Amino acid sequence: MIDLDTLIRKKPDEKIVFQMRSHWITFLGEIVLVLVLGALPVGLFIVFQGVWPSLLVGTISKPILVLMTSAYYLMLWVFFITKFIDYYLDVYLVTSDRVLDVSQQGMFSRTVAELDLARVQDVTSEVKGVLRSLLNFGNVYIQTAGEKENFIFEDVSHPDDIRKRLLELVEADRKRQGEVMAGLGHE
Amino acid sequence: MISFPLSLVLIPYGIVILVFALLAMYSVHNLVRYGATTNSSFVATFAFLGGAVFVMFFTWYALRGTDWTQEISLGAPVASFTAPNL
Repeated sequence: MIDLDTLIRKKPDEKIVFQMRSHWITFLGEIVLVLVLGALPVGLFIVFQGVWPSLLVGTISKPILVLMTSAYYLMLWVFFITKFIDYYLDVYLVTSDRVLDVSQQGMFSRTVAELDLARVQDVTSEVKGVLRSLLNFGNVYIQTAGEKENFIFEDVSHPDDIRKRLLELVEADRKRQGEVMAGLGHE
Repeated sequence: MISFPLSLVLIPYGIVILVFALLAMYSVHNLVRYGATTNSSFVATFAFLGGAVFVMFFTWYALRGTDWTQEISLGAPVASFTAPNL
């Protein structure tokens, strides 16, 4: 689990109920792209072996080509890890008190948006399309009381279950807050 | 005619390594800080570092025995040029 203290000022009794990120299939496109880009020098090597083999064994051309290939793969590797971080650190957290949308954009940008469970008015889940239906992933829309933009959990697994659990938590939070208010009224 | 030693091409490569190292450190920092206690985070960190070490090792292996003192001459007629077999 992600350490909540690194993201927000946690309340004393607050704990993470569940966390989720987009379905892994949404990251497949990046993997395929990196595989294609990774195969490019191999393809060029095969082509050069056929049409210009002396270039690959030349005392000057060979080290230059090796260095260029090495630099290319290192940069590709960094590109891949950046994409992975972008995917992996995009997390939706639901605590006993609020909902957090932690969004990583590239390597140097990160936004954390939070929404109090008490402000949740309506939760809708949506599974649209063949692939989403087969793998059971989709969006969960959280409507709030205010005018601020609504929360969306994009392409998460089991959106219907998430909607149900979220509504249960909202209910529990309302009950708890009602008890607190009632307790204050008695004092 | 301009000529320079082959070792000079290591300078741009060194810059690439430096940029890579900085971005790699920042990536690992992000993974460790925000994904700290997850197994996937550790696996990703080690896979990333392992991949980088593999590329470096392969580069060193392919370049062993290279004579870096060779001169590259730009603009000089190439004596041993072999045209591509198109």
